Amino acid sequence: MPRTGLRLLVPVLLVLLWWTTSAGSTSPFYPPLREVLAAFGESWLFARVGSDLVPSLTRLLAGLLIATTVGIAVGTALGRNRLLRQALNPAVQFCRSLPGAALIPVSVVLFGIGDGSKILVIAFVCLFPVLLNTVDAVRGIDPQLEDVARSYRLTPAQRLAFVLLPAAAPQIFAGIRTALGIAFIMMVVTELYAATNGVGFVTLSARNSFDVPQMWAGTVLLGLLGVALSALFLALQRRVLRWHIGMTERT
Amino acid sequence: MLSVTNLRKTYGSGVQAVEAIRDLTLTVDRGEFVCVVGPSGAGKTTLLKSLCGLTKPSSGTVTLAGAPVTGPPKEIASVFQDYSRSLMPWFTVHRNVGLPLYNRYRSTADRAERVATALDAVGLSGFGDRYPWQLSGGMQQRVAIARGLAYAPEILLLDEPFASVDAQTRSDLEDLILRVRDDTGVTMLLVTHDIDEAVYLADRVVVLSARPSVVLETVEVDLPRPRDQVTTKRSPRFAELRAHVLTLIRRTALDGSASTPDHHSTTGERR
Amino acid sequence: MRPALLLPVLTTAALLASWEALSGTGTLPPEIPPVSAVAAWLWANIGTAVLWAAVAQTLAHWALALVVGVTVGAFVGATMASAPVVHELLLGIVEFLRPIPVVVYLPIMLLLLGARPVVVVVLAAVAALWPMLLQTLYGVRDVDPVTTDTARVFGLTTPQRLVWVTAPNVLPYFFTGLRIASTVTLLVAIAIELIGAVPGLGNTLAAYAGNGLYDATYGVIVIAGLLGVGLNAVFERLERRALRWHSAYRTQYA
Repeated sequence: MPRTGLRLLVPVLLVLLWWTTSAGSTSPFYPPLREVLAAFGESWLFARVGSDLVPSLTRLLAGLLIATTVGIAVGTALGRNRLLRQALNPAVQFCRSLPGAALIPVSVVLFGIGDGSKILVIAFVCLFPVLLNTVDAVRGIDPQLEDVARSYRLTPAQRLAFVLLPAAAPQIFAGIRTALGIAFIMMVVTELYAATNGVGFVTLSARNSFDVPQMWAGTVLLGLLGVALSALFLALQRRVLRWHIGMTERT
Repeated sequence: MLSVTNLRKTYGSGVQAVEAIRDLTLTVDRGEFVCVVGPSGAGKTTLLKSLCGLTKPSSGTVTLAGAPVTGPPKEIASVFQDYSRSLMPWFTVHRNVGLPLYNRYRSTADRAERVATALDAVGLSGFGDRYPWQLSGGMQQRVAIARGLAYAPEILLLDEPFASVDAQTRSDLEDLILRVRDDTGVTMLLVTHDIDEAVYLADRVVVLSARPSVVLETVEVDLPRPRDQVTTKRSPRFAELRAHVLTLIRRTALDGSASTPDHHSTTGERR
Repeated sequence: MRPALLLPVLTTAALLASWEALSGTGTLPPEIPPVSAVAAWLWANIGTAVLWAAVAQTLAHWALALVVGVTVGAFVGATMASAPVVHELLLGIVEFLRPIPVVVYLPIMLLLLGARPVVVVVLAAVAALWPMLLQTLYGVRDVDPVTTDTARVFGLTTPQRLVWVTAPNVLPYFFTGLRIASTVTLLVAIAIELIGAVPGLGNTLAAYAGNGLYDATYGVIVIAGLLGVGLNAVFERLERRALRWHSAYRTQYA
């Protein structure tokens, strides 16, 4: 059997197992997969896409974007300046170790349950993987590359854009990848805690109204979203870091 | 044109201070090819870094056409020792060579033309779209030389440019440098620990002592040009000059601190 | 005090002082209490059983989940790395399930099991499983074939090779996985306590915030943060110790 066939075997078997064991199920908690798929089609193809899926994804991406921008900017500054790094070290260490979920109640109290509050929490929690990776990357840059840049009289802006950031990019991307996973967790958790829309919100409300197939459908959608976002990010990374992939494959 | 007077450079302070260069005075005239040769750890790289304004001397002066050098001057281009660490792996050959030209030529067409000329001069036309890591070591170092040439400097500084390539490539690159110099008339200052290379290339060889460095002697190389890897190196005069420089270096290496760590030997480990 | 310590201590003090000043002047909203009030609450409650019970519950969830997740993850990872058939069989499902954050399963788990500690432990264990599985997989596969061949040439038996060759190579990966797993487990445990109303720091936090007890809310956040810092420090130290013998190797390739 070809490799890909073997790899698909277990997932396909699991889905089949789910289908057959649930087909005649009368348990209210374990509805037939057929019903789950029907609920999925009803809600997510595409009735609730605009009202719930788009807001969820918007919050996730906005939070991630803010975290990435601020993380790279502050991380570069801290990486370049030893005194600044030492001075802010205790604050950074505390904030990055803080379990992000602990901030949600406070954020809701301060900013309500709207988009702003959720985006802020997502951004705060995602900030640290990006920031710490940027600091490490910037500190690890080969001094000879900087000598080259200086001796050819590149301006500070050119040094940043053409030398510093490209050199740091592989490690920064690793940080963003970690942040993406955390952003997804925080997106779901903020919606489960308190919200008026979003995929997580719909899924949890379905439980409260005992619409079990809808709940399973929401769970399936969230799972697919996690897989899709991760795949999209990897594709983006492969594109941006083509040079790095080519270089490491060669050695 | 480029002159160094009583240059001294100490790293660190207090008891841990290391005196890399004690007292160096030398001049390079316009159009000249000067090689600086010295035992390992003789502060050769420190000298070059002071010349191109990357480090500040502890005392003494560096002047270029009479004006003191305080930062990297636009008249000087450098070729660094380790090509794998001096080219940007995220840029193609073309962009690597063109990078320093951003502030000099506004138009993309002008830049492209200069890059093409420089790549042609080092025999790399047609490789502009490759990435440095797709090329052999010798080709990468030629890209670095092309980058220096495209900058249109009055002086080209070369820091052990052929230290990390194999012997055959090395002599090819030496001849390439000589040809470039004939074509462009650019002033060259090359630092090396290879005595043959220094004598083969230079109009004058400046021999440094072990650390802390002083100039032991400046040797005029009166070998005829054009030079040739076979005939020049076979001539009795070449052997004589080579033996003379070697004797100077041997002596300094013996009474200098033999325990001096070889600073260049560490550069190859970071890969 | 050493000068190297002076700067961070002074800066941190300045940050806290400006927070205090901003609350004092009313620049910050009343929902953010001054540092002094948070400190006072912590001081008054640091000895109370209620607070320590919450910390203990969260730590118990964390520890149990970590043990289960790490054991399963390491076992599956090692099996996948050493048996190609298992690797091919499981890779598809692993690659599919891994990017799905465990909180996704929370509504279903709450439905099936109710708001009970076991939900926290199961989901946090799944969260701990992934980094462990992947790190073990990489670690076992990364053993240099030359080393293995050398060991074979010198006639080491399979158990000997496992203990002397494979294990030391896998150990750094194992501790890296452990550190990541610990962080994720704590985050997930507190998140689920918060949403599912399972007793622990997360639930305590939600209760204080919901009742407008802001001094207490921030006090608990500080404790959660310190818990995170402490666990991070422990696992980073473990990782560094495991890495020591080939730290040079690591920094070169970093």
